[in-house]
Amino acid sequence: MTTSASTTIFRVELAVLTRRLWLQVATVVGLLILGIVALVAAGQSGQHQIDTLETNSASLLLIGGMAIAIGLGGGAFSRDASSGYLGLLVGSGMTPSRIGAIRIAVRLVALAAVFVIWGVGMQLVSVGIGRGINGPLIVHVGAALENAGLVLCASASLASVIGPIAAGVFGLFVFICAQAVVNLKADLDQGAIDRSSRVFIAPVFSILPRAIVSPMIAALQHRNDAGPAAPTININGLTVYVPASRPLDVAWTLLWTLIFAGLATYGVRRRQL
Amino acid sequence: MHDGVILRHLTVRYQGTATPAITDITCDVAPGAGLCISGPEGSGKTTLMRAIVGIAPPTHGSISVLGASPRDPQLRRRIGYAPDRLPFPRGMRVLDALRIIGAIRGTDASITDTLIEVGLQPTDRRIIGGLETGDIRRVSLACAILGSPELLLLDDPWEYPETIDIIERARTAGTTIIIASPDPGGFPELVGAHLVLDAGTAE
Repeated sequence: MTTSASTTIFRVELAVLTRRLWLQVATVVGLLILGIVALVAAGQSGQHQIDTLETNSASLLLIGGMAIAIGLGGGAFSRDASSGYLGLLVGSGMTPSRIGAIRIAVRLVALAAVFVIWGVGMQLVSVGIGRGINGPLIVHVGAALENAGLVLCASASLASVIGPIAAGVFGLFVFICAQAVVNLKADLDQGAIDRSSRVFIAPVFSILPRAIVSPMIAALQHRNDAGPAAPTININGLTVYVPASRPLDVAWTLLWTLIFAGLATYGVRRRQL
Repeated sequence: MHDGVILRHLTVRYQGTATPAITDITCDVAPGAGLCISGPEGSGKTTLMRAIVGIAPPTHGSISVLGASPRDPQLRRRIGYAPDRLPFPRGMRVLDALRIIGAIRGTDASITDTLIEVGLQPTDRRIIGGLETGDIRRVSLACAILGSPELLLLDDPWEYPETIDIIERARTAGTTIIIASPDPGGFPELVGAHLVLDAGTAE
């Protein structure tokens, strides 16, 4: 099969995905939430105004972004395998692994498109309340997209062998673990837990994917402006600040995302189509 | 050996099932010949078609299709396959379905001519999910015949006048045809041979 054939399939599948009502509704609901944030922030001033925009934007990207990633990843294969569509593609000469790769890529692009739409909306709000372009928020959208991409690929890795809901739960579990190891490492580094725990935490941190923490989230924690995406962590009476991810963390989680994407592709080869 | 379809002691058992869907099927369909497979629901017709097109691998026995193994993607591009189910994702347009199949097969055959051939509008941009079942089956048939494949596999086609015309034209052109149908009607006479399955075995 030629590259142009893959391009055709990619384009058509992306168009089909963007016609899904739930995805359209989720995207619009995100924009409506940003509209409410704009109204609230317009009545504020100073640092509090910026924090309102950043905290609520981060919450939208975390909760809404995860929900979309789970929906896209968990539903990557099961329905179209059951309907016979994937079988039709294989029967027409496509390899199952290529089907898997294209469908993962299509979903990642759709997820990125939603984040870009929301990200533009956030910047419009920022400009609208007289704060100009918010650079840290742009970086945070990228960080949240990487986290959501990890969840999407983790969900898809099991979506080829189990049902969409169970696969989505697995994707969420992967993110919870990724956030937990980052939090535990911060707890250890800041002396909130006993140093003897290093024996357990260091290898886990070295191996598992790491949730990406943007500089904006780290700054919000220091300003004690809690939200779902930047909660205050208190361990043994000490407040722990989760530091911004380093380039190595970003690369490591990207590698895990690729591993999950590879597992999803392999799973399609093994699945009955 | 020939370049038609050769099945030797073919048994297919799906993962997680105790009994095979088809057992010890042996038959030959010579190049340019036809076969109608019939039998009640669950008799193994669809599994046999899926095995021939390479998406249900044999547990035992062998399959040769057009002189090669159906596991080979290059070989599968020479097969036109219309599954029994309604296989298109919600949200896919009629033209998109044919574009995808044409792209995979690497054919530059006219999509508009193919749509006219099966009784659909030549620039049909409707969403497939909104079509009546009969029109979805026409789209499936159009996908199968796009680019004049060397082997045509039609799983439970509806007996439209267009379907009959397509089969007659394909036979005249020397295309090998296999049809599976629970209610074969006039198909056995049309394609020239008849295999009856019952509980996964040939009668």
